[in-house]
Amino acid sequence: MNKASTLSAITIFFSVLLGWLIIANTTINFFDAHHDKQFENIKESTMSTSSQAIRLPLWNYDNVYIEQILDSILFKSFEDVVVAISLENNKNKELSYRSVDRFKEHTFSSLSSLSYIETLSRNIEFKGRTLGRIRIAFSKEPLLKELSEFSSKFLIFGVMMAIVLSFFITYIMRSLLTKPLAEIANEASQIHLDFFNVKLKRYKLKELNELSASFNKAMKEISQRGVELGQQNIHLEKLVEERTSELDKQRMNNFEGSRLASLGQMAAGVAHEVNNPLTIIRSHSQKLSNELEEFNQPKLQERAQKIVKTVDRISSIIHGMRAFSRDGRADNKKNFPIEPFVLNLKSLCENMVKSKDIFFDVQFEKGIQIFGNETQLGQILINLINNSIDALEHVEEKWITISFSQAEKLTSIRIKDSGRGIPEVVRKKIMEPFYTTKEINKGTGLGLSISFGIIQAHDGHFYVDGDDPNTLFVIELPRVIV
Amino acid sequence: MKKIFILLSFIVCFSSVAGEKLVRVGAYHFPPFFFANTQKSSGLTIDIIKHLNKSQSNLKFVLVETSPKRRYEDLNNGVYDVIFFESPDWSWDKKYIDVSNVFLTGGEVYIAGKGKPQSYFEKLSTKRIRLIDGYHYGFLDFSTEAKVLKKWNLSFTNTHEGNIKSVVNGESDIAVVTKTFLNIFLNKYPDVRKKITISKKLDQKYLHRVLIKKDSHISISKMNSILKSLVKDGTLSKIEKNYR
Repeated sequence: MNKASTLSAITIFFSVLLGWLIIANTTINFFDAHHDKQFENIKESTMSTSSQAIRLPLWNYDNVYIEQILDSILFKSFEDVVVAISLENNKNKELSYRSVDRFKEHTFSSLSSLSYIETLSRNIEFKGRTLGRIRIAFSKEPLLKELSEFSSKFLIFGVMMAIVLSFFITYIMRSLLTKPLAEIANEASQIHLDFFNVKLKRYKLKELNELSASFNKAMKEISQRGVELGQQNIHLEKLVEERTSELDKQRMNNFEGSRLASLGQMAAGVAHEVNNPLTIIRSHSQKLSNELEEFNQPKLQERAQKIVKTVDRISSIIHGMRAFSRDGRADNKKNFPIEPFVLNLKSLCENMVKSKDIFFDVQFEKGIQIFGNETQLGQILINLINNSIDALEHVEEKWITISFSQAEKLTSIRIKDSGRGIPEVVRKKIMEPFYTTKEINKGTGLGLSISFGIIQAHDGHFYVDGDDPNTLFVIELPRVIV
Repeated sequence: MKKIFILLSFIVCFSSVAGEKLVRVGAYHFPPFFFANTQKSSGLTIDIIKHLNKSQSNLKFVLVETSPKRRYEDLNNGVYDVIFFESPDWSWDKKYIDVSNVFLTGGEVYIAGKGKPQSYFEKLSTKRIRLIDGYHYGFLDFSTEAKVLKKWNLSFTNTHEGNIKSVVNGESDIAVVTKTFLNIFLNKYPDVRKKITISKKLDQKYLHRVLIKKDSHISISKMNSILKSLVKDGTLSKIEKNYR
């Protein structure tokens, strides 16, 4: 028996006992009052019966009959309350006295002094004469003894009933409440983060049954929620993986950008360092050409002039490199004229396309101003030209054209080559980072995605025009009218 | 005049009451001499008292009922003054009483069951005998002492009729009954006569006297005088005849 059951048994025992004591007190009081009344009735009826019964024998002095009657009164009294009886004649002479054994030593008068003895006297009247008197001593002892025995039995029964009831109720409570609660507690203790498959059985007690049903419902919902959470977790993990992958790509992007920027800086540095000797070479070559002209050495002068032109060309290339290879991410967007921009572009690309037998042409309207980051836009175009060069490697007819046009609100740059266009499947992914159709180690797959990001930063659009039979990239930039 | 008349009437009345001395006559159930009855008692004693109260004015006789055993102390205690139909042999202490002359005789007979010979009454010691409590019987030498009574097979009652019926019913062998009462009973229940045997032998012969308490209002001579006149004028005989 656990502590709760013991406490409940003790509580029930004392509750029942207390209740029984109250009932016992009331009942005993009732019986006490009943006994008092009964005692009074016995006294009255005994006195009345005795005085009636004794008068004729006393009249006749029928001593045998008198003794019989007195014995009958004494020994056959109701509840044995008559303990002594005395018969006197009309001269107060005691004719007969008898008592029960326990009062044999007493006289009738001495009996009267005992606290629990009551004596009554009644004259015996017959034929108009007082024949004498009968005196009877009544003891309340038998009734008190009976009451005492009754009280004892009542209390013993109460204690026994309290014990039986407390065990019975405790057993019932244990069966209906304590044990199921312990089971519920035990089942509940098995619940942990990964285990909710706990099901409570049905119980007899309605409230516990409802608790069990609610518990089971909650467990079921938690279990379902766990499954859903698991699924969400898988989804989140997938999402995290995707996001991590994207971050990796972004990091690679940044890394590639940084790498390109470093290369650009290095190229710019090289260009700067090369530019000074080139200036000296050109200056001396020009001097040499002038002197050869003075010395009328046309062939040598022609060669010197070739050196000058070659140096100019190198300078132009270096200028282009300086213009487009630097890290332009920190540059502010601004309006810049298209002519020098195209010149630099051509300087950088002409040799590449010529070496691949590709026709290269740039068309533009004079006076066009483009608003943007000149360096980044130049890098985008060089990247696109490089892509076209790679794409046209196995194409028979090879050409690349770049056209700049300006509408009311847009400046459009169209880069077109003689390729047969880009399939739709590829078109959908072509702007995504690390997507490349090039052979391994030939492309990072970042060029177009970086370009796409730069154009978005210019509030422009960058897309492949699928409707064109050739490969056509279109850059649309908002026009800024100065 | 009117006042004188009232005064004279008062004196006459007073003197009349003052001169009438009360004589209390004790009687116990002793049929036919006294039938004690809760409704209306009767018997020779009552008839004699009535006659005496009619025939003279000096004494006022009133009946005081007693019982056979109580009659002695009642006399001694002054409950009554005289008692009729008595015998000084019936346990009386003669120092307290005066005894009148015999004014009537009678007797008690034995009765037994039907067809008993007279010899049946010769030996009573073996018989179951039914008697009246407080009475005195000849075969017991008028003793009422326990040591005497316990030698016999006796049973005592307070009913004469019951004793006769006990013999008829076989509950007792013999009953002792006053002869005059037996006649009255047999007249009332004639069928019983065939069912019993009556002894010719008397248990005792009554010599009825009046016993007078020594210091009572009436003297023995006065009583004897009254009795003598009752016998002489045939009143007693006349009264007795009613109970035969």
